[in-house]
Amino acid sequence: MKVPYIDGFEAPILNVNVPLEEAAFRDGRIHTIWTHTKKAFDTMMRVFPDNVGQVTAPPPGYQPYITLKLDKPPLNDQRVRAALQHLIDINAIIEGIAEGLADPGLAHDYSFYGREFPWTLQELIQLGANMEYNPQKARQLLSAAGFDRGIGRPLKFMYGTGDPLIAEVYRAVANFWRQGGIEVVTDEVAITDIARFNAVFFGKQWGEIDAVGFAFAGPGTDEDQYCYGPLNSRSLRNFFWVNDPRLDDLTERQRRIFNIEERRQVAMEIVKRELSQSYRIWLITPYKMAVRRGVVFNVVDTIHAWHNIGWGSRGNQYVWFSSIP
Amino acid sequence: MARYIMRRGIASILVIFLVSIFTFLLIHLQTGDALTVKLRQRLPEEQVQALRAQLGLDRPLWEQYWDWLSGVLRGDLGRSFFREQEPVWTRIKAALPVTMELVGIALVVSVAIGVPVGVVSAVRRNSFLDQMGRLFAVIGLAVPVFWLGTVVLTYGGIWFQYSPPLTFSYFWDDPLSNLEAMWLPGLVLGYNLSAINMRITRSSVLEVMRQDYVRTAWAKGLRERAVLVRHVLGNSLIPVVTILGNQFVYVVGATVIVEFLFHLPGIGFVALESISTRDYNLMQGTVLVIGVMVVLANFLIDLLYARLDPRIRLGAVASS
Repeated sequence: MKVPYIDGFEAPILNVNVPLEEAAFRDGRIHTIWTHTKKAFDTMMRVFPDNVGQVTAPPPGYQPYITLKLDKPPLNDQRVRAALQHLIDINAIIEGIAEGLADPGLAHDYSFYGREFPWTLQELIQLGANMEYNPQKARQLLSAAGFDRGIGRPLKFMYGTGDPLIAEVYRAVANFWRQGGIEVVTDEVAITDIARFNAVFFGKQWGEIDAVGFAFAGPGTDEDQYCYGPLNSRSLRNFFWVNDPRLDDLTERQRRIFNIEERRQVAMEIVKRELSQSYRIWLITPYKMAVRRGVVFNVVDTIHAWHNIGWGSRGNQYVWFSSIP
Repeated sequence: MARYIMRRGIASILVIFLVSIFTFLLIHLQTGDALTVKLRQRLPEEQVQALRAQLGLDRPLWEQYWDWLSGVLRGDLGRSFFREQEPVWTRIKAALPVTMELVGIALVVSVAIGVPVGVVSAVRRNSFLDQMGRLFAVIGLAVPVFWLGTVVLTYGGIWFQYSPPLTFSYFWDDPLSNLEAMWLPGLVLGYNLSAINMRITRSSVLEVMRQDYVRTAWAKGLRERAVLVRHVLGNSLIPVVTILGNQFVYVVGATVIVEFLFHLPGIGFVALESISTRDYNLMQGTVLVIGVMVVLANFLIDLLYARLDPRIRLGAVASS
C-alpha cells in the first residue's frame, strides 16, 4: 500500500512474546510498543531519547471483570454476589497491582454519559454498586443467605493468563475471596488453550465452573453494545447468564429512543440495576501504557487509544510524557 | 540386511499410524473445537450446527479420522479450518524448510562446539581446561532451551540493542536476512545439544586413549597431534555420529519452543498454532510430518547402527 510520507506498513504479529517484542523495540525493528506494566513502561521510555509515552484510560472494551453462573445456587442469590464484590478491595488492586495506573472498572461507555473520565469508585458506589471493600458486610450478607462459612462449597474460578497484569488481578481476587473464608479452586487457562476458554465462555459449557474471568466487553461505538448486548436475556452477546425481566425491558427501551438525553436516563437505569444486582463482578480498568518513537508521530496514537473512531476520544487521553516524569 | 531393513520399515509405518491415531484422539478429548475458536461469539443454534456440518465436525470421530487417513493415502492432507481453506500441504511445504534449516544449523553448531571442547577436555584431563569444559557441559545440560532463548532475547536487546528480524526470508530469496534470523536460534538450540556431544566425545576419547593401539602409537614416538588425529579421533567419533541421529529427534521437538520464541514460521510454530486453534487438519498434518521425520531419522539410525556394528543385523536375522 502506498501512502503519503511513508513507504508502507509492516505489522508482524508477536503473539504474547514479550522478550522478542521488547528486544525488537530496542533494536528499532518496531516503533511502538504496548508495555503492560509501569516498570516496563519506564524501561522502554529510556531506550531512545526521542521516545514518547502515552498513558490512556481505555474505553470500556477491554478490562478484567468476572462473570458468574447466575442460574444456579448459590450465585443466583443477589446477597452472595454482593458479598463476593464486597470482599474485593478495588483500591488495593489499583495501587498494588496496577501501580496506580487504573480506574475502577465498569463496562459501560462513560463518554455516552457526558463524562470525560471513567467513574470513580465513590461514584460507582453512589450509583448502587456493591464495590465498597467491606468484609464485615460481606459476612453479614453470606450469613443472611444461609452460609456461616464461605458459600457452602468450593467456588470454581476460571480465567486466562494471556495478559500478565490481568492474570495478577484475577489471582488477587481469588485471594481476597479466600481471605473472606471462601474456598476457591482456580483454573488458569494458558493462551495456547484458548479453545477451551472459548468453548466454556462463548459456548456456555460451564459445567462445574462458577465464575469466569473475562476481559472483553466490546468494542462498541454505541452504549447499546454495553446495555442490550450483555444484559438482555435474548441477546446472543449475553454470555453472562443475565436473565432479568426488568433489564430486558430497559435494554429494549433504550434502543428505541432517539432523544439522547432521554436515552441516557434509561441507560443509566440499566447501569444502576446491573450494579445493584452484582450480575458481574467489577474490578479495574487498567490504563494503556504505550511508548512510541518520536518519528512515528500521530500514526499510532489512534491505535493506542483503541481505534474507536468517535468514541473515547473526548476524555480517554490522560497523560503524555516526552520524558520520564 | 534387506530383511532387517524391511522389518524396520514396517515397524516405522506402524509407529506413524499409531501416532496419527493418538494425536487425533488426544486433540478431540480437549474441550472446544475449531468452530468455538473461530466464532468467539454466540450464534443461533441452527447456524452453529450448519457451520459445524460445513467443517465436517458433526460426523462421528472414526468417520472424520477415516476421511483424513484416506486423504493422506491419496496424498491429500486436507484443508485448514482457518486461513481461508488453505491446503494443509501448502502451509507445511512453506514451514518445512525453516525447521530443517534450523535443525541443520543446530546440529552443525552442536558438533562444532561439542567435539573440540570434548577432545580438549579429554586430552587435558583434570586440567583447568577440562574443568571449564565440564562446567560448560553441565550448564548446557541444565539450562532449558526456553530459558536460554528468553535470556538471549532479553539481554541481546538490553546490552547490544539487537533482536532477530521479525519478518522471515527464505535462504534462496535473501540469504543474509535468512541467516540473520537463523543464527541466534540455531546457536541456542545447538548449545544445548553441544553439551551432550561434549560429554560423549570426552568419555569416548578417554576410552580410546586407553586402547593398546594408541599406547603403541605413543611408543613409536609419534607426536601428540599425530596420535590424536590418526588414531584417536576417528574411532572415538563413532558414538558421536550415532548420537547425532538421536539428537535430530530431540531437536525436532525442541523447535516448537525455539520457533515460537524467535518467531520463525517453521513446523513447530505451525503445530503450536494449530493446537491452540484446534485446526484439526493442520495439526494432524504437522504431527504426521514431524512423526515421519522422527521415524525416518530413527530408521536411518538403525541402519547406521547395523552398518557400524554387524552384530545388530546378524542378531536380528538370528532371532528371526
